[in-house]
Amino acid sequence: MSYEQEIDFATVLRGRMATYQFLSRLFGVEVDQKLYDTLLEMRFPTNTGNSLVDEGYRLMCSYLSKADGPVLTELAVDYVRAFIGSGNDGFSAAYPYESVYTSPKRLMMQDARDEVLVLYHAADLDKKDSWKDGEDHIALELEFCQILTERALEAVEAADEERAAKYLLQQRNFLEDHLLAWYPMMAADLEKFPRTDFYRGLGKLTSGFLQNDLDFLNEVLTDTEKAADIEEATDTEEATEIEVA
Amino acid sequence: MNDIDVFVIDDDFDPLADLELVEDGEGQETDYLPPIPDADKSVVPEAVELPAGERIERLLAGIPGQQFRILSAVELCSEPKTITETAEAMDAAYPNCTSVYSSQQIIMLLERAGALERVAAEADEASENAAASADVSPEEDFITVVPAAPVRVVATRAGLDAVETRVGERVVRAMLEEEPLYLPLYQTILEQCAAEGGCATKDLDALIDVDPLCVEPRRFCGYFRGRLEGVGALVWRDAWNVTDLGAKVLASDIFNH
Repeated sequence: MSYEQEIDFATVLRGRMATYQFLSRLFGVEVDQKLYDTLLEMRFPTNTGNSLVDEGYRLMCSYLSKADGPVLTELAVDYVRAFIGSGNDGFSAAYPYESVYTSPKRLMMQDARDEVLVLYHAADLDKKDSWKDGEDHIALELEFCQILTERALEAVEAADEERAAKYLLQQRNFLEDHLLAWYPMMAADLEKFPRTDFYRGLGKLTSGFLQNDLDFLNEVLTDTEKAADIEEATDTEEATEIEVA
Repeated sequence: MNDIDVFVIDDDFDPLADLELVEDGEGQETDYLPPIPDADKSVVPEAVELPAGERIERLLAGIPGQQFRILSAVELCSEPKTITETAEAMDAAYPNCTSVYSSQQIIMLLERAGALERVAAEADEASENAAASADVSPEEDFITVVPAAPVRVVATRAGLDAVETRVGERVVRAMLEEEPLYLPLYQTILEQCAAEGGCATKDLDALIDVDPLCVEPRRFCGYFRGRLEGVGALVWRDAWNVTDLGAKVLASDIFNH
């Protein structure tokens, strides 16, 4: 890996980390004034190569450009409509919990929550006391990915490729086993329940980004595995030559 | 049967046998079941839109303590105004408001109820501008938020009708004329509250509760005060104060008869 490539790779990791952080924040709690001000100053990419990401950013930007009056109240109301709902039938909102989408009776705090909790603990992570929801909330799962990316970035900056690959592999497994195993179902609900384009856009953006990220991780890890295979083969050849000599 | 037979333990005895309990894992389901089976397949009926008059009625009935503040927003928007201008004017008119609804939220509720509407031409223009800002050419890599031009709102016919029905000298006079017997009491209350700094509740009570007119049927000051407050002639601002409307009624000829 050349120096220039290393710089690019670190930049990509930083971008992924920021996006995970951004998405986690939007799913976690309602938009407040500070975040709203940030959104107004943000530049939303339009040609990412993923139509869902582009559409998501376009919807969010278009909503913010049209919004007038008490925007924060409108967004807070829509947050409740989208993620909390008012019914008790299990089909009244896009519930942001993995357990709801992976348990037969759509209940919270099921096996999925226990599984992710074990993973968090294995990564020396625990939830803050201020967090009162289940640990399989999408905001926490996205934040977990953000933390893994941050650790991978630190490893890349320390030129420790093996450790970086370990974190990226961990992240790919988490994406495959958890986020991408259930989020598409929530994304379908996110097209039904919100009334503002902001949260509809968030649903599409997350769908597109997670898929993009899995593709990226697959690509990087395949390259790493190939490099490791070549290195292993070279070591074996050298050892054979030594033996022959 | 001897004593030893009585105390022999019967190993086959089952105290729960008569209860016919179901074995674990068979029979009845004891887990939680969603209260609405197949809720995901249910069809939600279309919402029925109520007429604007009825929606305004419900809004005012839902927040009865704030009805004059709410209607003041409609009055302020008899000419088109921006939401910010209207909210500022409301805040100036009701500086010590204890409502959980901010002025901007009140305006939003009135718009939803059909008492206010956005000025059409500007609303269209704003939407077009916003859409244009979001529709970027493929060559551009980023889009940014272009804040919409402030939209102006104006009172609808239904909103103005609601104001006319509930606010004004005519409404106060109609209320007073329902009980001409008590006109002197209403006059006293208004005069006391028109004083600088208003009038305390206990002072009003001391003045009215002992009046011979309140003896049969027994009435208390709160009854008259409540009715005057209900039509917007009195308002509580750390003490009972007469409103502009109340002062106008007091100055009118209704108490001269």
